[in-house]
Amino acid sequence: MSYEILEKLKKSIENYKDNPEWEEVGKVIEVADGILKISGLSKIGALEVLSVESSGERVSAVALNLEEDSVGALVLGNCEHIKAGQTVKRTKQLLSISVGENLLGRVVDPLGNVLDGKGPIFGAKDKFENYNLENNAPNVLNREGVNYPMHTGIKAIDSMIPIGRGQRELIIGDRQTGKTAIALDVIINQKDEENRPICIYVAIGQKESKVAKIMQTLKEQGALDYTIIVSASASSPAAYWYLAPFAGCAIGEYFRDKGKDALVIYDDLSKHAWSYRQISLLLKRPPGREAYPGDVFYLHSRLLERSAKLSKELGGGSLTALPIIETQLGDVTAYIPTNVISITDGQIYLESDLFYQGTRPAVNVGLSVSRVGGSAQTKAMKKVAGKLRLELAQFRELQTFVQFASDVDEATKNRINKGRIITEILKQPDLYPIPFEKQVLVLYATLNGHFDKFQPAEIKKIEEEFLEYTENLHENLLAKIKKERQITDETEEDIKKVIEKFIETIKK
Amino acid sequence: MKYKVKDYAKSLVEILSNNKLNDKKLTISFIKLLERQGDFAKAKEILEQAEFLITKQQGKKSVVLETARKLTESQKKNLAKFIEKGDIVKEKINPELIAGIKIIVDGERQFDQTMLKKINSLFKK
Repeated sequence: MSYEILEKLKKSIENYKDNPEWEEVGKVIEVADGILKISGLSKIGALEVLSVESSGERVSAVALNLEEDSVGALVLGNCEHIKAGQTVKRTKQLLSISVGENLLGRVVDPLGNVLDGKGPIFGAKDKFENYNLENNAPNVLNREGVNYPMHTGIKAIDSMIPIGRGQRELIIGDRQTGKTAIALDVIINQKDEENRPICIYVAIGQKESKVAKIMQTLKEQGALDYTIIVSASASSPAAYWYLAPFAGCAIGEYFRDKGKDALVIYDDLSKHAWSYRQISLLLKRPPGREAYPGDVFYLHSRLLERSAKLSKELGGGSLTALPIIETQLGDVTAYIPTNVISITDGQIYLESDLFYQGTRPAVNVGLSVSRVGGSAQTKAMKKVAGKLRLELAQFRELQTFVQFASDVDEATKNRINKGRIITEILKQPDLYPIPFEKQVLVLYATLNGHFDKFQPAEIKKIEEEFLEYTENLHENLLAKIKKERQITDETEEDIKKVIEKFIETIKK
Repeated sequence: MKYKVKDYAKSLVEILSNNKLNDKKLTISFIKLLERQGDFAKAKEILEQAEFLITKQQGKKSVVLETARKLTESQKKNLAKFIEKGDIVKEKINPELIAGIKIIVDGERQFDQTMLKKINSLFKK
């Protein structure tokens, strides 16, 4: 045994190649709260990775503040052993993450280190590329308009707030309103989608138990195979929280540049802004509104601008972003929510009142909007759900009015009943995304008055039975809608017949 | 107003370049100034910085030679080609280096040929 060790040592010493060269170094002057102040390193570049030689082990840091006679750096790792006077070396490299197909189904930290205990991600023969965490967004010429839908599997969203591949749609709401649930449904719904996008879930400052639960849910639903989780847990340093969305974005860009579609969920950017505020204050950058630094808008805009639909010349890949923002007591006018609302191409606003009333997902349709998704919506859905928003708005108005009136005419009663049926139809439990072709059928039946004769309380059961009926007996119709993505006159006739037959079976 | 170490060092170098001033008087008034400003703790840093600025002004360099043991005469001879007349040379002994030499020039450039570095890079692979 000892002989073997000696042989191995001999071999490694024989193979050792020395590379004598001059290195650029600096000295740690101050160290506190994960921030270093370094003297020297006058030629360093912004966001360059540094290597701190702290008692035997090397700790990485990234240069953030380049001042006249010192450098402010963010420690990426354990700063317990770093002391003033230690040497800091330049690496002449920007912060990057190794990306490749092997990342699928894995949980990593923002620096690409494994967190799921399944061993190293890339073997010696595996292909991977290094992608910079900070990257330029594609320019105007390299982009094209959003034109392909990113189906969420949620009726209220796909019908009224459609999202396209390459879009940035904000999910905003108070705590416990179902923001993460929507994000998970979107990931799960991609399972049977055409040109299935790669999903990246970025957990920023979340409990490890929550991340483990999310991973388990995705595994159970068969969605982990095409998902990558980037986790900067609550116990990790602010540096990790700050870098996590950029790492997730870099992973998404890899797939986007390969001509594939990718979806990245930032859960959530409020915590990301908090971490950036903490880092900025420790770096002694001047505080602005709510103590956030002046460039907190640029922080999020440069991140979200990297989501794009690329032109055909560049492979036609796309990166869709679903940033999440947690509001405090429904205040959407706070600094970070307004910033991100203005950056994104629309928002899905979740309301606690709706949530407690039982409307789940608790989407406030009036305040939610998708600015570019309409052009990506399938013709079938457009035809069916065109008047849905209007009908719901009219129902809400009538409902408020009727609260004060005792006697209501028949037409108003019917309209209110239909409004209630629509509201019931739009309710959907967690982890139960519905494919768009089924959504089209259900919404067609509802909006064309086929379900009007039922009581709102029955609707959920009727919907379930209707979907089961079509799935078992009219699979061809579903396949046809999925393939053609539009409702021709012929298809419409078929749909009508199917619905009528179904209603007859119920009567019996 | 608080002054930076670099500002103190720059002004000290400027005053020192004026030959007419009395050295003793200058030293006393500089110490008094530091005390008045509450920056006496920075004195060592200021002097180091001033020394660095003077060497730079003269086109010379400050060199730190870090070794595990004291340099022998033959080793010093070998290094003589590298060190010019007027350079500030400091020798530092650090047994952790095991063997070899580490040369640091102007606190910004380093040439590390120590056994410690070699062992570290060997085990890193």
